Order: sequence, then structure tokens, then C-alpha cells
Amino acid sequence: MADVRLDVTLASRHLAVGLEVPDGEVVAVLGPNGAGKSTLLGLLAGTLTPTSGRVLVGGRDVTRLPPHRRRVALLAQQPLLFPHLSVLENVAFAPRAAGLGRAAARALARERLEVVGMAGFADRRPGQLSGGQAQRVAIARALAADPQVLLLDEPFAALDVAVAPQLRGVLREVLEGRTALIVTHDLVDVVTLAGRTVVLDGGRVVEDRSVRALVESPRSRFAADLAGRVLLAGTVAAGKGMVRRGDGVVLQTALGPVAGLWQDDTAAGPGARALALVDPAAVSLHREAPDGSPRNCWPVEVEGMEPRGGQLRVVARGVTSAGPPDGGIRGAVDAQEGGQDVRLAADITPAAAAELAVAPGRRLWFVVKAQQVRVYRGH
Amino acid sequence: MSREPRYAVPGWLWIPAAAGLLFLALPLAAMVVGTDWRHFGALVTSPSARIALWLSLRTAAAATVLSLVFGTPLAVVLARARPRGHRQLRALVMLPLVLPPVVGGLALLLTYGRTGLLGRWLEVAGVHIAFTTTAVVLAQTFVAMPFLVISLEGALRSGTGAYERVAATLGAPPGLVLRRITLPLVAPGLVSGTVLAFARALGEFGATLTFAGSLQGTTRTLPLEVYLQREVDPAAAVALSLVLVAVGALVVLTVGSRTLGGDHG
Repeated sequence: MADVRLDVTLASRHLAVGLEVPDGEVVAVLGPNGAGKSTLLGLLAGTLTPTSGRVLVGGRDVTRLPPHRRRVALLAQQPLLFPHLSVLENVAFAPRAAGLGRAAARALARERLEVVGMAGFADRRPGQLSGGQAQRVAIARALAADPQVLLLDEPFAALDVAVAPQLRGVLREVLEGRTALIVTHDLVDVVTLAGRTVVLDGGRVVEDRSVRALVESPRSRFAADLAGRVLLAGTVAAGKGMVRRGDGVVLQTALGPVAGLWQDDTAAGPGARALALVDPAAVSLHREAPDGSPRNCWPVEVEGMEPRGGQLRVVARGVTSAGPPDGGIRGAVDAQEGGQDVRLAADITPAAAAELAVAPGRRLWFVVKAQQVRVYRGH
Repeated sequence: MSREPRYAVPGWLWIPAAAGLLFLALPLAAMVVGTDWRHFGALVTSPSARIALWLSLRTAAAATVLSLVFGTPLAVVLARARPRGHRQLRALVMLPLVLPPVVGGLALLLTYGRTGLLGRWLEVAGVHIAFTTTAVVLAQTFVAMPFLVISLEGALRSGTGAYERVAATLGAPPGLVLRRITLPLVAPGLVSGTVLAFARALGEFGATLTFAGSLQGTTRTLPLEVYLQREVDPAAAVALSLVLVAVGALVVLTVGSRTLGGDHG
């Protein structure tokens, strides 16, 4: 195993990424489609050559090396087992390529198949395996190459949902102590397999933090979506001066003022860029704006609903046309341009949804207590 | 694989379809009917026929080997390395397929003939190619190699690239990838291309006649013998033709109309 250091640009894909992965760390690479995740893997594997910059694996400069001399193995969505070779020959392929004798390569292949629980399938042809079995063999084959870095490109995306958990368990075991990058869209992969996350967007790294920090206080829309939260960007409103951890704070956002608690170790003054994180589970729905403070009340128009663990997630966008009833903080009052573009979500019970007759186009109020809105420094 | 549901064709389509099939099959039937079966054995084993057949088999085999040796690398380079202008290069490779064979023969004559582009230098070195058995092989290779290249290139482009990339990340250098992954995966395309090239070489007539002439035992292959006997002994010509039909039928059946139809395209 070895560490990875990469600082490259690739003009044709508008990518400019700097990244360091210490020896033995598993990093989840996240981001929307087209963010550059697969391009990043291609640059590491050697199927793409950067316009500028360097790629170091274990201190070796591999920037100009062809894929077969990098010792970086790639596990793709599809197992891509060589169809004309048996399972055993597939796994023995890399050791043979490395110059090992036939018998030794086969012995090694059997060991690797054992690790992924596929020893009994050594003589099968890839065509005789299920998708999950084939992906296990693909893992064994990648391990048999004794790579310094393992790249995983959505390894479970093409599999049955019922098969993925077992395979995730296998992968968790084999990734122990290995340097690896895993591209995924699945929060479960991130939490079970990775220690750190890197979020790419538009060919840039927009977040690079521990998994826990990412889900607790995401800084990107993508990370907030992944954690099932709603993220509102704004600036600290003028008021009592500097805010410190635990203080009440009001943000000016596209939706209007948003009240929350400052949950950042560093203090901030008026005008500082900040983010407000709303847990949809803490949001309640009302026909009328309720009285009482300190609460956030946002007039919204329902866009749709989806089931979510026994609850219904109501997705809505902010509207600016509602009247200004008194009490609490009224989003509608000084909502800036663009409030309609802000998407909000609330998790409610099916009974509540029925009672409120929630349906697309319906105007309602989203209400959340200020104490339940996490506010922290943005960028 | 499950069988695909049958597509309903309009009833009237059967009539032109049957007419087309008949058009293709009738001449073959005429040939079977027109053969002098009583003397068939004697006709196809006459000395001149045997000499021509033996020459045809040898030259077609040599042309097939040449096509393989040069055509396989050409197909791999066209499909994988994608050199600048590979589209134009592919068109160039396909040109002999659509060229009238007699034109091909003339072109070869202008290249390797006594006063040809290369021929005049070969002449100085004491090497004569035109109107020799070598010329027969060159003429056959000229028309046969494109079949192999196009067939193999089609197989290469139909999706072995992902396997090759995986093999490379597993530490296999390009030579090993070619030998252990690419070629085994395109083996069906390689086999059908080879058989097609052999069949085309065996049937070569126009280019051979123009570039190599018709010398018994040296350049007179079976198709040339058929053409010659047509004047002298029509019954022998028909019998020999039937031998070529049999070889053709064998090719179509072994390669399978499936691969000929470009099922992997």
C-alpha cells in the first residue's frame, strides 16, 4: 500500500483537482453526475493523462506511466470478467502478468477467491455467475494484482439491492488498511466503507472532510442532499454583533430571514457567509402561519411527495406571495428575489398529509423552530 | 437468451421475397441439372483440373496466410491506435472490395510489372513477379485481405475495449493484453474473416488473369481453368464450377450466415 498525492488539471474535462490520500485511508469521492469523479479515477488509473500537474503513488511519479505500470487497480460498476477465462484464470491473470509461474499464480488466485467466498466457483465460466458472484470475483481479481491503490467506481450500482449489503461487507473487510478511492452515490457506502469524503462539483473539490463532518454540517448542496437535509445559504444579518457557538442568529437568505443557532467554533460578525441546515424531520406543516416564536415560517408551494421510512417527505419550493401575518419570523416579508428557487423538504406522517390534503401546487406553511436550525460558516 | 417475439410482416412481402430467393437459387439449380453426372468424376479429376485445383489451393492458402500476417496488425492498429485519418485509411482498405478485379490486376501490374513503380527496381535485382505464381498470390491477397481487415476490425470495435483497460490496470503490458485478451475475444471475427479471405482468394479471377496470366501449372487457377474449359469442353467447365460452388457452400455453412450477416456489428 502507498499514499496518493495528486494535483492535476485536465483542460478537456475542465478538471482541476488537488487531493492527498494517506497510506491506508479509504476516501469516498462524491458529486453530481459530470462532476469529474470518473475522470479523477481515469487520471489515477492512467487511462487519462493530465494537461498539467503530477500524480504520485507511494512517492513514485506515475503521471506519464501507462496503466499497467502504475499498480493502481480499478474495480468498475460492471465486473468485466474476461469471458473466455475461467474464474480461477481471471484471478490468476494479474499474478501471471507480473511474471509468477502458473502454479504459484493459481495458488494465489485460490487464496484471493477464498477471501471473497468464491473458492467453490474456481472452475466456472464468468457467464455462469450471478451479478453479485461476478463482482466478488472481480474484487478477488483486483486484489490478486497486489495494487498499491484500489479504485472503485460505483461497485454496487449494477447489482441487485438485495445483493449489495453482503458485497459491501466483503469490501469492508478487504479495504481494511488499504489505500482506496471509491466513487459512489450511496450514503451507506460512504458510512460503511470510507473514513473521509471528497465532494467534486464542476471539476473542483468543493468539500474534503471526514464522513461525520460532512453529514453533520455539509457545505455543498450535494452533500446536504446525500445526508437528507436542506441547506440554505446566506449571510449573517446585522444584530447583536459577533455570534458565538450556541448563540441565536438570523441569516439573510434567498428565502428571507432564517433563524437558527450558531454551531461553529469560530465566531462570525454581520455579513459573514453562513449556511443553515434544516432537518426535514423537524419541519411541521400548517395551513396558516402559527403564532409564537422563535420560529421560522416559510410559505411554500408543494411540488411532490415521496415515501421515506414510514413518513412522507413533502418537497416544496418557497413562494413570496403570501401575506404578512404577525408573530415569528415571516419569510415572506422581506423575501429576496429567488425565493421560488429554494427547495425545502418536510417529513410528516401520512395521517398529517391526508389531513392537510397535501398535493402538488398546494400552498402551505413550513414551520421549524430556530433551535433546530444548525447555522455555521459557509464559503 | 430468450427468443425475440416474431415481427409480423405484411403478407404481400412474401411474393417479392420469394422471387428474390428464386433468382439467387435458380442458377445453382441449373448448374446441378446441367452437370454431366455420369462423367463427373472423370471431369473433375482430369490432369488439367487437378493441376488447377492444386494450384488454387496452394495460392489461396498462401494469400490467406499473408492476409493474416499483415491484415491482423492492420485491423488492430485501425481499431485501437486510431492513427490520424483512420477513417480515410479504413476507406482505403475497403477500396479493393468494391474495385473491379480487372482494375486491381492492372494496378498490380503497374506496381510490380516489368516497368512498374517497384517492378523496375525488382527487375534490376533480378526478381520477376508478373506472370508468376507469386503474382497469383499477390493478386489474391490484394482482394482477400480487406475482407479479413474489415471483419476483424468490426469485431474489435464491438466492445473489447473495456476488458483491455481492466487487463492493463491489472498490470498487463500491451503485448500480453493483445495475446491473452484481445485476440481470444475477437477469435470468432478472426475465424470468419480468415475463411472469407480464403474463399475470396480461391474465387479470384479478374486480377489474376490481368496480373498473372493463364499459364497451366503456374498461374492458371481453378476459376481460370473453368473459363478456359467453357470454350473447349463446357461439360468440364460446369463440373469444375460445381466444385467451386461446393467450396463456397462449405464456407457459408462453417462461418455461418450469422457472422456473414454482420450480427456482431
